[in-house]
Amino acid sequence: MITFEGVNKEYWLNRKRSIKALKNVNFNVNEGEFISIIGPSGSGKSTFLALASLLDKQTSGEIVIDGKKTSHLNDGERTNLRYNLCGFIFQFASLLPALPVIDNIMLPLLLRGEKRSLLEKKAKNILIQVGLTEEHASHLPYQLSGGEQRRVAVARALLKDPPLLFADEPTSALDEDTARDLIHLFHKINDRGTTIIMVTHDKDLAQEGTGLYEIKAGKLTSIMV
Amino acid sequence: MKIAVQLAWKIIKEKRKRAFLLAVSTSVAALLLFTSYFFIHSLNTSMTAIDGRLGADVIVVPSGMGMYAGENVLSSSVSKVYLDEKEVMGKLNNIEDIKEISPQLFLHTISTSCCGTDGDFPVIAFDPANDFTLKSFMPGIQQLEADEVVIGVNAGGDRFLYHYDDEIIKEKVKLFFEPFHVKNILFPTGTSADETIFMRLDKARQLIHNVDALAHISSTDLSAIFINTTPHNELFVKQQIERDISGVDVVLGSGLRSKIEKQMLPLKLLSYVMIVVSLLLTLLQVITLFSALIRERQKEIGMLFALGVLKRHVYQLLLCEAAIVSFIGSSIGVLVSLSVLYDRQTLLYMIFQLPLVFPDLKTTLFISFFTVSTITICTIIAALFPLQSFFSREPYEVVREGES
Ligand SMILES: Nc1ncnc2c1ncn2[C@@H]1O[C@H](COP(=O)(O)OP(=O)(O)O)[C@@H](O)[C@H]1O
Ligand SMILES: [Mg+2]
Repeated sequence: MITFEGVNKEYWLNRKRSIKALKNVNFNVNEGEFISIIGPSGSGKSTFLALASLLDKQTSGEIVIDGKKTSHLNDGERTNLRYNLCGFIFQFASLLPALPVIDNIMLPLLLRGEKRSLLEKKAKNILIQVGLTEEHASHLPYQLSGGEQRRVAVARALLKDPPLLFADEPTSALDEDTARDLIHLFHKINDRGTTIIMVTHDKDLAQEGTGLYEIKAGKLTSIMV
Repeated sequence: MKIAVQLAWKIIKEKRKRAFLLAVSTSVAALLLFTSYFFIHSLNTSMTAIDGRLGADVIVVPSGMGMYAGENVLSSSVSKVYLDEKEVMGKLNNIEDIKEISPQLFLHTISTSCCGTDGDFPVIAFDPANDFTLKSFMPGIQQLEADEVVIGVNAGGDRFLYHYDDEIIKEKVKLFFEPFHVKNILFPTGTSADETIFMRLDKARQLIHNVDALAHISSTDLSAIFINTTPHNELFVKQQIERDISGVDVVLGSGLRSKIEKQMLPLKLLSYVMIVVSLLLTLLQVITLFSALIRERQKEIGMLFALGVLKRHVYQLLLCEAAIVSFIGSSIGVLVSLSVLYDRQTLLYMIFQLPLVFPDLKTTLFISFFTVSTITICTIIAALFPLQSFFSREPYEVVREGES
């Protein structure tokens, strides 16, 4: 599904200084897997996830997604690939504060020209799947708790049925029970065939996937489960 | 596009405070733009009107009176010497290069009280149908009735101004033992017309028979004939008149037209500068405001990129927001300045003492439309500036930068 071949990522702080956030990363994930990635903060986990989901460009090396080499794609092609294949759940609050929950969930598809009337029912269904109610649909983000907001973000990622789901520390800032519920939800999604790559610092949660990797100072290593 | 407008509208409604500042700045800009455009338009209309007759090209007066000939009315020092209409008009009509002929007859200077103003006012008769010397100082002067007069600002006109747009109050003045209604006042002309009372020539000729003080005037007498010629033929016409008609002085107009135009130029330039400056200010203001707004919302924007929304759709959404706010803001600005301008029309006449001709409804609508669309387009252009920094950037970069 996704393959990294000798991928490097370098952030330039100014003309002379740079940070090597990823160093010669080789990685492969197959369809239907649930990969967890752990590592200390600043080690390059978010960077790795951003590259894998085409949110950012590698400095060198090749990333192959769904059989397509991505290094030479232009901005529009990358955006379309991301739209069609990837769902992304951010580490932080990521909803548009001015729009109600239902609009937030449908936003990417609405802007692509899909009909609101066709989407609305599906969106409300997904809202229930992620453990919210139809009543939440008209709430504004600030009227929800942190855990509920995270669920809305999950619902937004799921609406277009992406084959790939990326989650960057989805349980950060959530209490233990809420975190457990969310991971439970991920497993349900994974059971339906969605490939999941999740960054976490919770070692226990990380054990539950089909694969576990660790990043240290930009180097990715597989940990046998 | 429709969905972008819907979403943008939702966002604006929810974040009213954020939109407010942008709306205020666009409405101030619209107010400035509308007002200056409005004045320029008024000035231009007035100029065209003034052009029509401000200063005749050639003035024919009785022999010896040439030195007293005024630009658009008889000067007050007219004596009791007259031209004979029968003799003069026929010959003038035969001169090809004459475009317009407007005769005037000085009747008498009367001491009276007009609209509560006491003074000595020359009474002059003119022919409304053929007049080109006064018409631009008073819209509708052609419809002057026999029992109506028009007065200059200094002949009580300034008082009349206070109820200028009040149809019900009708001032009356008694002239030669007959009552007349004051139909209207002339805009200030800066000439002796400002002290004068005007009536119809045919009415005046009726009076001649009944009033002793006017008995010396015969029914074909005229005091002066104002003539407009085809362009650049003033001198030629003057020579022809001098050749064909004896017993008259022929005087050339002094080019009052170009003089006035020169006087108006700074005012016009000022208005144009105001327009340009107000547009530039709007642009700058909107760029500044929008840059701040965009910076504040950078994470949101990066997030949209990350969710696979095409950049152009993101821009569409944000530009819709800017356009809607700016449209509302500038519409309010236009409405405010419209209501002020029209509500205080009389006040403005008094302040400017200028023949401001207010635009008609169609033109006003056009100016409003022009203002609103200009400001809205400017806002969209201005909003593009801060957005343009995202053109070539990766979503992750935008999000991370917007986070901190
Ligand atoms: N946009 C950036 N510019 C400069 N340095 C960056 C940028 N993004 C990340 N880094 C650096 O790259 C390293 C890896 O960051 P990140 O992938 O966010 O780590 P993690 O998610 O594991 O905490 C860190 O040292 C961070 O400071
Ligand atoms: Mg991180």
